Amino acid sequence: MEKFDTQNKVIFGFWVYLMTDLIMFAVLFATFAVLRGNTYGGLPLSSLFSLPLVLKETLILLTSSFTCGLSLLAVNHENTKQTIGWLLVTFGLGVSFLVLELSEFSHLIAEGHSFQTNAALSSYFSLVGTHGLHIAVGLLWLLVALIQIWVKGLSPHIASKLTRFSLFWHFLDVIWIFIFTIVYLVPLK
Amino acid sequence: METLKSYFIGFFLSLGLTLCSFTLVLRHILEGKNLIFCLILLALIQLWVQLTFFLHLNLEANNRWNLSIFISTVGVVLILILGSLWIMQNLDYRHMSPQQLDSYILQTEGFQK
Repeated sequence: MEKFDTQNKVIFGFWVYLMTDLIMFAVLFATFAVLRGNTYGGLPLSSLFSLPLVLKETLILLTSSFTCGLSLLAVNHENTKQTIGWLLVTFGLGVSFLVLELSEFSHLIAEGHSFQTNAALSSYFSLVGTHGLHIAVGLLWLLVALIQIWVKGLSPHIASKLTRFSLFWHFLDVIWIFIFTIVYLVPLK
Repeated sequence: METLKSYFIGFFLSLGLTLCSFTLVLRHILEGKNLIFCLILLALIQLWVQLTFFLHLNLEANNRWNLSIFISTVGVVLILILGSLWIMQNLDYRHMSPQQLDSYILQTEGFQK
């Protein structure tokens, strides 16, 4: 019983961290909402994005969130092989999301729309880049967890770590809902 | 409630809602205020779907603290975002030149498009 309580406390603490992260994203969203029209005479932001690419990114991230949930189910059933399998799928999807996002960024910068060009692009790169940075950190975390499972097997310690990782990963998908809606889809009046 | 079923429901509902949002924009089905309203509504529904079926945030006793801190954070987030927009819009209004102010008033009062 006491063990269960500590576990719950650890997860609650992680949840509190996620909520502070949410506040940071809220500030970035507010900045973007204020600055999105300030292109200093340049092209409007919406004409720079390719929506099919964003749809692809969205579907990849959503699927990786789903497979991350499946891996957590496998952890609860103490099925090591399935856990590793679904985590590898999650990792692969996460990497392909990051590659797509970075190729989008490099494409924008190569065409002369870098974060230094105007206020709208600065706020865009800060918001979407911070999300991408979270994804990168999550992937590193996942890689370390995978190595630990491979070396030590599914201990209760690692099961708890994977529970927290799945919270983090689902949370990033929730943030992405608002990024694709507000940054890419909602038109500037 | 962390079952296979809940993840499948969450995944397919999110998938449907995402495709709806993109179809609305890519096929030019709606425009202007209606489009913005529908997109925000779809995003909020998807937020609820993912909170319920992926993050398992609910009213069960051992989840109550997670839920209450989530709700208070949403309060902070709303104050931050709506407050920033309000302040910056007001600042924008006060920094207009007399000519800009005239055309702004004519536009918002509906005399001129």
